[in-house]
Amino acid sequence: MTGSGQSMRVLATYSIKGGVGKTTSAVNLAYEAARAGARVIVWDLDPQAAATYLLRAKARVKGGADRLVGKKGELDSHVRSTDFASISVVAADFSLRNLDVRLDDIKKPVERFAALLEPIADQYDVAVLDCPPSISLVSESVFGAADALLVPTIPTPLSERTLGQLADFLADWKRPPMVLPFVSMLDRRRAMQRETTIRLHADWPKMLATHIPNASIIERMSSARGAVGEFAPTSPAAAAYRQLWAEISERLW
Amino acid sequence: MDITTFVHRDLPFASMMDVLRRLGLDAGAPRSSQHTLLDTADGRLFAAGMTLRAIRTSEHVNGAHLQLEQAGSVPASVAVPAIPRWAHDLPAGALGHRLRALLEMRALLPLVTFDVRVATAVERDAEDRAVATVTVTDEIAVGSPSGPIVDVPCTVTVVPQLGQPKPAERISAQLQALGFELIGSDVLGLVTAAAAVDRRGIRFEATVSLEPHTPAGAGFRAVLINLLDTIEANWQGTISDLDTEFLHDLRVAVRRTRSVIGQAKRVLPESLRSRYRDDFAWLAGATGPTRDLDAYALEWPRYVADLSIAGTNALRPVLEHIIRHRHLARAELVAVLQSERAHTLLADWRIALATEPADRPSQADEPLGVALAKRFRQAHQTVLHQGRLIGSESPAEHLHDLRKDAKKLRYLVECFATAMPAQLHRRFVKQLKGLQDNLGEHQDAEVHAAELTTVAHELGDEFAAHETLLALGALTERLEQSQRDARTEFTARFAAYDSTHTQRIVDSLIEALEQ
Repeated sequence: MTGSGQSMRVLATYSIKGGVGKTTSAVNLAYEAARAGARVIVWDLDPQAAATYLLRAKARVKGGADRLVGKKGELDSHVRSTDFASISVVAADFSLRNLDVRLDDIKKPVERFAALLEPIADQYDVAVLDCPPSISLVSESVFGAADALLVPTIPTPLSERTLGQLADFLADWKRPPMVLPFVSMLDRRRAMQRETTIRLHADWPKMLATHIPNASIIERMSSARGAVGEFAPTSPAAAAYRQLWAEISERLW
Repeated sequence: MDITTFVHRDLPFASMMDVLRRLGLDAGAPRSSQHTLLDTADGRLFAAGMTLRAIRTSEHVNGAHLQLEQAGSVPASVAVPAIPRWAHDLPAGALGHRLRALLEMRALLPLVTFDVRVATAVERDAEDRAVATVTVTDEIAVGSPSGPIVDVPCTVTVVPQLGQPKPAERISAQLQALGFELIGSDVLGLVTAAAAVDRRGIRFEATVSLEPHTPAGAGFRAVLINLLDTIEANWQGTISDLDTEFLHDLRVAVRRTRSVIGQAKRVLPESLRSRYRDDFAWLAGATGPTRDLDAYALEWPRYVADLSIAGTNALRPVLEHIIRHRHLARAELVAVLQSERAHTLLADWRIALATEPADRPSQADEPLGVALAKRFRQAHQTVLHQGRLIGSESPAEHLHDLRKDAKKLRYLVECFATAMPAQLHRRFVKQLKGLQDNLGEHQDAEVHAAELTTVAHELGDEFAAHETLLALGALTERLEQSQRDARTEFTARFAAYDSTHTQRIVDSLIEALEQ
């Protein structure tokens, strides 16, 4: 964790834009991290609770957002097992739609998530925070806790633009997290996507080299309720996530 | 709720699975696997609360799955192409990262290997989510490298889900009602007990319990027996070259033995002291060359850390030369360790220590604390006296002599540590260590620089590349600089030892021993 001296690495799948593959990336990267020997906790911060659903956990935050992040809140009692022995989850539910308001009620909201993660930092190697889109107090608290933001970026001018907005926003931060964008939902048949991909790599030196394809197998995650590496381990998408995790891991350890 | 393990002496595996099905659990097919428990010889992972095992199933032709468990956290597992032995064999990523810092230069050794058949049964809720997991373990056949095959009973282990203890609690209660016996251990505990594996490993620190009022003769003999245990525990590992620390620990135990024999004047019979002082001097001499070269090879990465790739590559022949010499030195060491003289020495020494000597010297019956206080005071005074004589112009030999005196003092307080109040002992060792580290740096740099000069001559004879000799010269210069730095720092380090703070600790320790 940033500044805590613990060895747990906090990663957040984050994008200002919605529908770019944040949740599927969070779940697939959590799976690949666990497969590579890490103890992983996924913290679902999105009231849609899609990561919770994909990890087959119950979409319920005991006591609601207040019990989770409020003055007396703590994370440990919200941690649940998943079907994967090395992956735990802090589930989301619809009460998280008020997370911003709850954070606004407490002192130092930007430091809140880091403080909540600190007590479990010796129990896990990797925390993956699946974030809702937009820039809000929730995202700021994520930025305060994360070692790296994993930013899935569809190679289109609009996504490219939001990446720039994120960089501008973080420019004022004293200790900003590392921003690791990667190309998500790539459709190689589209010339514009191919061109944008080349431009993204040229403009963003920290852009991860692995591209996640726009594949129907990734869509199937919602019916299979699991990571592609689990139900389609030999698929190109699973291979891409494996490669992406290897790249991220190299920068962490 | 914690993980709980049960046994049922009368029920076979199939009946246990039937019981679980009747309890509504979804039981899977059994699978056979082979588990190898791994740790360092000194039990570093166990001391850190970790359990590392390599698991092989029929799917693994060569490789295995490494599984790392630690109390209070979820397990981690990763596929590996072969069972790792060294820190650098561990896979990249989190699991390797957690283990590397603990292992350092020690090898991962197989403590026990056992074959097992495991079936898993899961209780699921209405939405098909697992709420409790039960594993049934059967056909456990244990074979340790040193022990016979022994059987361990069939076990049932109930694993609760995080944040959902109730289903597991209910299953545990049902099993108990059906006559299953709760055991205060787990499968691994049963296996290690059956194979007589002590997961704490070889203990390097003094483990003998001493009281200040024990007769000095008995106290000294107990310490020497403890050291003999350490020598013997590291003997075979040194011969087999399992890792460098077996020899290190053996060598230190031999040197401590010599030091304690040296301190045992008027406590142990003179005839005993004179014979074994010479024999252990012979043994210590035999362990020296290999250990010096080990220390060299272990320090090598630090020596070349700041060099360019070209510089490191140019020095490769030097490292290879060191490794070749170590190989030769080791052959001589192994011959000594396997010799009749060495075996007789250890066997006779044990008999001699176990027997109460008829001719008890004058101080053999005085309280150990009193005997130690005298020796401690004297050894401390010697260090102060020798250290105060050293000035900026004193030759390097004076620092080497001081290093030996400081080491004697350190051995004395470490070997008899359990007779001293723990906190005072810790505080004194901290003071002394500050001085010893400085003297050690000074000595190592000189010895290694001298060795490099010898290597340069030898390589020169073998027509070494010009670049290698140049890099060697640069490295020697660097070592000489670090020796000069250590020398400059000596004054401050010695002053920290020669202080009222240290003297207060020494006085308190002596007072505690004399009481």
